[in-house]
Amino acid sequence: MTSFIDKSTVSGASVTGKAHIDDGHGSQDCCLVKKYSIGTVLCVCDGVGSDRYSSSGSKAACKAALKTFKLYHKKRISKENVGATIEKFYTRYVRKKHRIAAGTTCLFCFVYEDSEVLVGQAGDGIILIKIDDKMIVFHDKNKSFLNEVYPLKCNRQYGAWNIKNLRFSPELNNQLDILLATDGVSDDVIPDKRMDFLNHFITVSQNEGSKGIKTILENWDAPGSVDDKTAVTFSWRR
Amino acid sequence: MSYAKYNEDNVSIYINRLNDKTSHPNSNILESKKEICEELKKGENKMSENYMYDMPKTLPVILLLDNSGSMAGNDKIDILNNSVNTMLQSFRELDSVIATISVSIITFGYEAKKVSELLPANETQDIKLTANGGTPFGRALQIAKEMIEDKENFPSRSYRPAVIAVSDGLPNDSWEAPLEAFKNTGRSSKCQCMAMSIGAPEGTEAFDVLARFAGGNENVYFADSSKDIFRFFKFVTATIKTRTESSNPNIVPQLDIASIPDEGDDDDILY
Repeated sequence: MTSFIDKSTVSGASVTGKAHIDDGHGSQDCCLVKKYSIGTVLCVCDGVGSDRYSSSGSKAACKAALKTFKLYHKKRISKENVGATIEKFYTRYVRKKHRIAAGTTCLFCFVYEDSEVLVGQAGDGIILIKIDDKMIVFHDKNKSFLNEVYPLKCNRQYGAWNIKNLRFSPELNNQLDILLATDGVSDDVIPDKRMDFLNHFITVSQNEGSKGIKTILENWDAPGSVDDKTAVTFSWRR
Repeated sequence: MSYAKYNEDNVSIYINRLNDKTSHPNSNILESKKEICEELKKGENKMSENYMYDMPKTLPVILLLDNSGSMAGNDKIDILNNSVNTMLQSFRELDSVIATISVSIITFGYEAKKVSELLPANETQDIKLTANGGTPFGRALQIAKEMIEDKENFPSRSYRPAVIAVSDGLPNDSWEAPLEAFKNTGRSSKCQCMAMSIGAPEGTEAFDVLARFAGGNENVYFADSSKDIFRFFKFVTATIKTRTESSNPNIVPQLDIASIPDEGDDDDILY
């Protein structure tokens, strides 16, 4: 019998923003989408622009999310410790000399074969989850202005993780769509149109995969949008 | 038809068309595919516009201008009007791809009031303030704070606002509590604040109030001549312009006001 995870499709892409092409710094975003037999891990991280080693930070946070995904599955850590575990590995994975300036956001979603969905957010960006017709939005409610971010840092403990378990059942539900995106994307989306935004990305990812997502991000034409852009998706239909 | 449905229909229509064309014996398959992919891409772009903002992000600039009776002396109010209008004209001419400038003006004299709502710079009107009354700076701060905290009406896609205060004297209302609230609570606490003290040098009580507002003496500019006022507003213009062109407009550039050239030959002492 085909498992719930086997039937799902995942995709993801990251493109360097115009501002970072012009200044030659390269992208500071990083994303991870990986399917395992135990489940799927999705993660997007946006390095803090003003931190010199933020691209190392965003890569380390993605790796840390993957490590935590496995530990949580093995029940070696509780839900309450997921954020702290990501931080611990993030700090470990950043090179010592980079730790002074490697701030990053970290948005993740762990979808396990036993239908547990664990979602977490540190910093800005957006996570949209649609179960059947109902959409759940995760975003940084404390953000006052654009580009204002309270990120993970190697030299201090992060105190604002937003981590939630969601109810989902492949037997009872018909559809599960997930989209994680950095603020380079989410800041340009009209809040009332988030459902349309999610549907567009999911439809394109189902038809064209990561290449389709990359095309959307490369052709992103919101005026004044010069930041790096990263998005990953997961979709499952009964 | 919902947006998602439209999207799905679009895809299915094109897939069907591809099938139709490829099944025709005389059709050029490669040409058809190319044409269809291009149409599909156009369709996607058109769809994506539906959920994206079509306006650039904005950098709000809020001016708190003293038009108390003392500003009438030595044509200070006229110099202020001219300096602000020159700055507004510069803002109207700016063409940044990163952020547009929005401006709101609050005056405090006979009363504190918002004389201009937060508007895109190219929709602003020149000002022609007249001077009379006291210096209700505390109330002006309250009005500014109410505007910044209003999440319904203050643009959600704003960078950290710049709030510029100009005054030539000590406030005559209860300003301590409004200043405390402005600086330490809510979104207003994250604003970039700058000030110009006209005629009241460092060490005076009036200068100190502005220093508390601006977050330190280094963010208050002392003006004792018309040239200084022009220079200050040129400095503000340069600072805002640099922010709108930066990849992160929240970062305040470290510009030196001494590097701003003088305007005109007049250098009237203002007090």
